[in-house]
Amino acid sequence: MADYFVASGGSNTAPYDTWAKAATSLATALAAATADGDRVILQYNGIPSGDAELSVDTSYTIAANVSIIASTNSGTSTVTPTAMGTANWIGNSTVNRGVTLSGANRAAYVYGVTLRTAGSSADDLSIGSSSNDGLHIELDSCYLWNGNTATSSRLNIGSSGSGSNNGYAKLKNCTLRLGSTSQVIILRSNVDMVDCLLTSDGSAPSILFRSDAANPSGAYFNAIGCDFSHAGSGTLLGNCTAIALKAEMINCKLGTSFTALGTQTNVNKAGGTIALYNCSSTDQHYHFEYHDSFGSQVAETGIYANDGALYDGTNHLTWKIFTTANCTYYTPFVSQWIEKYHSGTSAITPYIEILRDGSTTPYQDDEVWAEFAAQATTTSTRSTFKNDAMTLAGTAADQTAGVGLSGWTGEGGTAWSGKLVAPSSFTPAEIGFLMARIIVGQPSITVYADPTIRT
Amino acid sequence: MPIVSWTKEVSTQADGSSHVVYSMVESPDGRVFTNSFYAPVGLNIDALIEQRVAEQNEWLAEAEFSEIVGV
Repeated sequence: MADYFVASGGSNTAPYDTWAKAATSLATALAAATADGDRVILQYNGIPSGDAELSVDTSYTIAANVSIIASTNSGTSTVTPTAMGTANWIGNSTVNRGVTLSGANRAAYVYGVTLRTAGSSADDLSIGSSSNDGLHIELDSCYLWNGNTATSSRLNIGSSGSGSNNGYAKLKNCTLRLGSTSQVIILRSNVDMVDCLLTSDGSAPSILFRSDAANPSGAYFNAIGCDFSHAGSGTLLGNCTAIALKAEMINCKLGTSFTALGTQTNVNKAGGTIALYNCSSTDQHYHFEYHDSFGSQVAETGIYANDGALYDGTNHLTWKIFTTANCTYYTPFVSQWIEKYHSGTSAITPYIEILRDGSTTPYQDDEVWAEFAAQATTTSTRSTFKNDAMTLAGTAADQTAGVGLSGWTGEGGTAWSGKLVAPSSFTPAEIGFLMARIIVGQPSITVYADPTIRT
Repeated sequence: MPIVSWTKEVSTQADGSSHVVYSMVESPDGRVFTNSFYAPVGLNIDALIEQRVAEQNEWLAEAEFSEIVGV
């Protein structure tokens, strides 16, 4: 393992192992760093002019499992990690130059580096390549400044390849900056973001994320503790036309009146899906959303079961589930799971209270049903399932009457109270979670479900 | 194939804000596009839906173009 230094004031003398002999090109140091564990130490405020103002589109290739660390220039071997921020960068500040970090089948770590594009003719800023498969890259405290103002310019995160789609990118405490409201952050393969910021110094995109349009396989995106509020009322996940993308956001700050999921070309789960856990533009800590092309579930506080779920020990919420025109009995909307820890071993018949607002007509078992899962198999972790759906090719029947409208608050003058009941009892054999989820096969309806498993 | 009409269902939340489910109907195919958002107190809900309708019309135009040129 060796250190390779990069600084504008270096003498560019191999093996670049001191600040005095530092390489005057990042590519030179990366080419020398060929052993796993090597470090490329980059003077945060001494970026070589050829890197700070690239003359051509540039792909920096990572040749081994190395790290790139922005640091102060101590003149000694001491490395003091220091982020480049907005005062220093690799890329270009005036004209369009594409900037890419790539490396097939490498595992790389980058600290404090700012990558910047500019100009008005489209060029991309890419963490990972669309033709260099298998890169695992972790960016810490980096600044991804896609200052190119072309509407078709992209900030690409993650790598993929023409024949496969192996890639992983993690961004921790990174800043994302876009140069046009029409730009989108493209997510490839697996992408994690932790404590990242979409900065208001850049444009507010109308669509924040989507999957790549040209490469195979699927993508997975998880963001936790991020601030994407600069996207305002825009769409979080846009049309994933060519690659299915499953997105999750946890404890993120979002814009006011955002749209979670844009219209998908694939009007099924083969496009984009997104789940939001405790994400909001406000100080409210009960929001929980899930969206796909068949429907959505969101937190509802205006209509609730009087003895139902509480989000803070005092105030109620229900799950408001509404479907699009695309779901059917055969390919229904499926909610997230409701879970309840259960250690009893007596026979139980779980059920969920639901409400139909605006009509007294009961929902039928080909329109709305529940699936229950329990640890009812001795000496196994495998779930046992039951549901109260209409049997395949059967005849629809009304779902069971529920607690009654006196047990609900907030509904209109016309409503129906029902419940979704396991068709027979479970006898739990192991401790664990009793689980239930609401399934809706009828297009364009709304169901309120109390997310409490009752037994 | 533009959006020719839309409807909304508004449910008032405990804090006075709203959750809005809106459905946009396209002509002549009659496709229905449903989406939603939370609206803080005072937000002009109809204006935001009109904005979303305009965005949906752009989406439809791009989709139609892609279908014509085969991409």
